[in-house]
Amino acid sequence: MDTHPSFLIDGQEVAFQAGQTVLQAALAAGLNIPHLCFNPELEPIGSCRLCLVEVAGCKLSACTLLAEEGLAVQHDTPRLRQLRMALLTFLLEQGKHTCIRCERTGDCRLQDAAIAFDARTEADSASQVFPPNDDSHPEVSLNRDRCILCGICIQASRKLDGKNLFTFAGKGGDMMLTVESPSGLLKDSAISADDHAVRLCPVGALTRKHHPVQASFSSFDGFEGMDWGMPTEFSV
Amino acid sequence: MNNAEHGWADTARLILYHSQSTSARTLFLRHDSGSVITPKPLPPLSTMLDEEEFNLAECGVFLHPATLIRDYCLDLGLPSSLLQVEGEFHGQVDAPGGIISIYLARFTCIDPPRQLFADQGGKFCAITELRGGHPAEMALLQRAYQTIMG
Repeated sequence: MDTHPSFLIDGQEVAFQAGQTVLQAALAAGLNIPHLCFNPELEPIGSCRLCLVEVAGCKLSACTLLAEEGLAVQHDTPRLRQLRMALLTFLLEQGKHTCIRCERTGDCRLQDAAIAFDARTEADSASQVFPPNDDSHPEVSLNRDRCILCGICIQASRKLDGKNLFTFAGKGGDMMLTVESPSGLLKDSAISADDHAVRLCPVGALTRKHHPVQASFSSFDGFEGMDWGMPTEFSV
Repeated sequence: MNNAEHGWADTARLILYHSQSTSARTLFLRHDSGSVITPKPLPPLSTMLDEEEFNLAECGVFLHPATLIRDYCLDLGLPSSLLQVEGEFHGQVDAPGGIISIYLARFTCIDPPRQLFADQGGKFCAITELRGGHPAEMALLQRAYQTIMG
């Protein structure tokens, strides 16, 4: 007999263990709540807001919401779908997400989510000004124009790598990821290509150089029928 | 909703606020009564105590603020993680009925839950909109705002 307490997601009963968040319980139950900044190896921070759900009319991020007995969570509603699409479009427009030229294509959560929701943008990234990329390190590239400011690398570098190499600087639209080194460049930092911070980046912001394109295209469906013609500014 | 008699309301109360995580825009929940104190306003003759004036002997049993929040959320039919205690804030008010402890709690939802409180006349207000309230409340709000802003 199942003795786990449970809550409801869109009317479907989901069992959880004490201390689990709504997102963790949903993923364990095989329900797909889209997310970018959540990683099971790290503490949830709720920065990307893509996993937003509704409880009694309040919008909350599922990755930080603790599961409770009897909780009634709405996830797949027209309003939430619309908000999620707006968030995704915003993220795509805020960066230079040219998938076909990105080393992480096929292994990118933003790409997965954009395909799953059929999110596209007509924004012309060529006219946008992005913070400078850092190509100074022999093994690792920091592509700030692809960074979604999720904070995973900050936490991973601090907690898993024990290096504390990254932090955010600036506010609002000027916020960017900075490197903790005397010159502010990766080449003077202790980063290595095997760092968890590089591995866990959910997009192509931190990438390994001289690394074959990681595209396997096996982790998601939906590439069939996608427009692969140029330009590929997240028309994928 | 929100009509239950809370057993702790004579000795402890809450100030509830929402702060946008990206913009830091901070709004306090003002109830229909015009007060920001939850679940009921302070008595008219209340005075805020400075930290050096705190009277712990007359407080009776201290309730952990998480208990108050759990009870309040249960009353609203909400998950208790909707509110999070600001551990750095603890105020005390000298009221005719005795000392009242005041705690600060933040709504963790993405936007202020306006609709949730709209039916009872609750409104989320910036601190500048709250001028002219009870002097003890104003003093508590000033301290709360300083705590929130660091």
